[in-house]
Amino acid sequence: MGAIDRIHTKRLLVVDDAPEIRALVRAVLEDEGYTNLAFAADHAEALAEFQRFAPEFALLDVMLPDGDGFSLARQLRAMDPRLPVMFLTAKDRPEDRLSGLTLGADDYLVKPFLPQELTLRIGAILRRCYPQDAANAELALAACTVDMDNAEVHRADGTTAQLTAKELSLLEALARNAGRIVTIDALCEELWGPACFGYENSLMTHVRRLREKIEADPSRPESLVTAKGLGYRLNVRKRA
Amino acid sequence: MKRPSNPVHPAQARTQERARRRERRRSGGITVFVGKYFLLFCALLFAIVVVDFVLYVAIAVYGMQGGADETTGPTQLSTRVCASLEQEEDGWRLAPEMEERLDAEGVWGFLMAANGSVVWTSKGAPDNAVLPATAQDIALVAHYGAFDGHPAFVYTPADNPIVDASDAETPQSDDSVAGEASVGADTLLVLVYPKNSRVVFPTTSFSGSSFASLGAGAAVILFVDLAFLFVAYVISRRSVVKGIEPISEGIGKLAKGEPASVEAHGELADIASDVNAASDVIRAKDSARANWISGVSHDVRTPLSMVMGYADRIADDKTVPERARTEASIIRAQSMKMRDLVEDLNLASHLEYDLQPMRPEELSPAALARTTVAEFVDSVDPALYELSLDVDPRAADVRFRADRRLLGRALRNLLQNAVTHNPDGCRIDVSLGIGDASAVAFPGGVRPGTAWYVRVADNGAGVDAAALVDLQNGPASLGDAAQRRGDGIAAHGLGLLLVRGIARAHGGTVLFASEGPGTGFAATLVFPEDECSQN
Repeated sequence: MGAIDRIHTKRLLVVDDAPEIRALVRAVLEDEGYTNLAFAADHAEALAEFQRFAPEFALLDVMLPDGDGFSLARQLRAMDPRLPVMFLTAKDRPEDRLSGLTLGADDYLVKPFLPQELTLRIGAILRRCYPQDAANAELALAACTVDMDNAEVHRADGTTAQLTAKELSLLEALARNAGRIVTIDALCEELWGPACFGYENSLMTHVRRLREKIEADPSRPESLVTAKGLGYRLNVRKRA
Repeated sequence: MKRPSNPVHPAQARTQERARRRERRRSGGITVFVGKYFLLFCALLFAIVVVDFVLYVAIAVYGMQGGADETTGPTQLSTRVCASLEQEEDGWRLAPEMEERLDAEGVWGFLMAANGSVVWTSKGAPDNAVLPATAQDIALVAHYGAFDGHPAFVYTPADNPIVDASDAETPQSDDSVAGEASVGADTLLVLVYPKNSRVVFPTTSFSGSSFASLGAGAAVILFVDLAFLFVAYVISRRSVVKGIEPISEGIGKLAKGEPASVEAHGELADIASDVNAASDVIRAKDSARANWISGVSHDVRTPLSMVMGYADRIADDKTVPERARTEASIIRAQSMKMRDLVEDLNLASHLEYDLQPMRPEELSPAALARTTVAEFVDSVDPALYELSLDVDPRAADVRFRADRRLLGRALRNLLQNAVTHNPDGCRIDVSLGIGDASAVAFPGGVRPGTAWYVRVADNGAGVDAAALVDLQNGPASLGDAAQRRGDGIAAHGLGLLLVRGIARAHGGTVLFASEGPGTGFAATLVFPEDECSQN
């Protein structure tokens, strides 16, 4: 991995009134390699930290002692309109989630959560919001590495191949959720926008062409595998 | 806690009984209604007639005895006056005690001889009284019972058998009606009473023929009156019954745990408002309970985050001894079960009390199934569970109005159910298809046309026939489960309860199938296809 992973040096602000949650999140994020972390227990502290720390990502609890997380998100967004925001909520009631998303929240996570759910989501948001800093500008697969910036595939045998725009989008969508199944519907939406029905055959064509470029044996794929009836999963080589 | 194989639930039995009663009331219709109330009405009338008759007799007897008046009746008084009148040389003279009595009662009188001349006038006679002088005058007095505006009574001793019969006797006392026949039978005694002391009915007459038909006429009038009264009675009863109907429906709704809003006017408005108030109280209690559950589930989440988070870190920590990691992974798995439980409980209570109305949107069941199954595949051990999704091409384009989150939850719970009952692993085949709806008993009755279904079938442990019946008849809400007491949630699981609840909320149902232990198990969610769902 040649590229410097600047995602993990992003400044993350975590706001939660429960000290034990802050401790858990700190342990999880530090283990994941995030180095710039700031914590706050309520609105007032969060605003002070915002001024001092200038976070590039905010993880907000919905219920705070001096107001809800949504109004805090509005305040933070007023100061930095492009700030990615993710909610951590102890409620699973739909209206909470809904208002979280209409507010422009990038994602939400319901407590209790598994640490990897948290790190996967935060990583996905950061890579989406700061693509220039993402380490996966170079994607390491079983049979090749892919230079995402230039849409170039460098195969183990030394040959290169160029990805089309659609193939690149497809690969990006899969890479963001590496190791997990991405459904046919989500991929179609990624490639052709919402309300795209009947594009499944086109999707299969793009997958086949992509496999020809990134797999050693396209008929027996190792990286871009099919989850029958569901979608596709991209297996990446683990970071060292 | 085994239930009989075909249990009839008490609440269910009550509902059926109520429905039967209502049915009976309707099927009887107007004839039963009229017949029943006609008998009641006749009994009522009969009672009135009896009471009236008794009262009439009592009043008549009382009146004949002089009533509460101080004055003596004209007949009685005339008889006594006649008995006390004596003819002397210079004319007629009334005994002084009788004159006193007349004065005391404010009555005066005069006696008219056969030739029409007034032969005696009582001492109390007004000075300006113009006594009748002609036959016409006296005839008018007799006819109208009035003299100069005062009640007046004409009496002839010849009419009075008492006087005749007691010719020879001397009055024993003042009150004795018998008297000496000192007044000739050819005279007329007129007594004039004080104004308004007596009510006089002048006589009237009917033609002979019409008087004869009067009896029949009276019967007709009576009958018409009765009919009229009966119609009025029926209308009033009918309006009461009509007023009660919505109230009884409202109370029926309350018994089923549904909110009731009754509108009634008039006398029943109070009852209606009481029913509404009861409904509000029940609703407030429901919402308090749901909020309580929601509060508890909220408060459990933070500590559960700790348990899950640290257990996960220990389980994945390569520096920790193998045994501790295994145990931590058990804690993690169990805490995830607790998370599901908390979410199911919260969802079930909200679904039950209708606090969060569903947020239906038109969605593609195929896409929803793919998302749900994909997420589930990522969360289970791929070495143990092999999942597949097969979408029938005909069902691929089905659109359905549903709450995405709830429907996804129902499918997830079925998948989780398969995993829970097959801890050693199994194959889980999910299939989405279209079938004939007419064979399926939906909550809203049998629907014609087609239905779409999603089936979760495993090749694992399976269940026997009795357990299958239990599953199929399991509770669909917390209320159902609570009424079954004890074995409700424990035996059937909150997860499946929620699946039933969600299916029902979307007009669908869930069917379970298994060929017996060891042959696998299948759960199918079936929903009627909307009219506009195929495109």
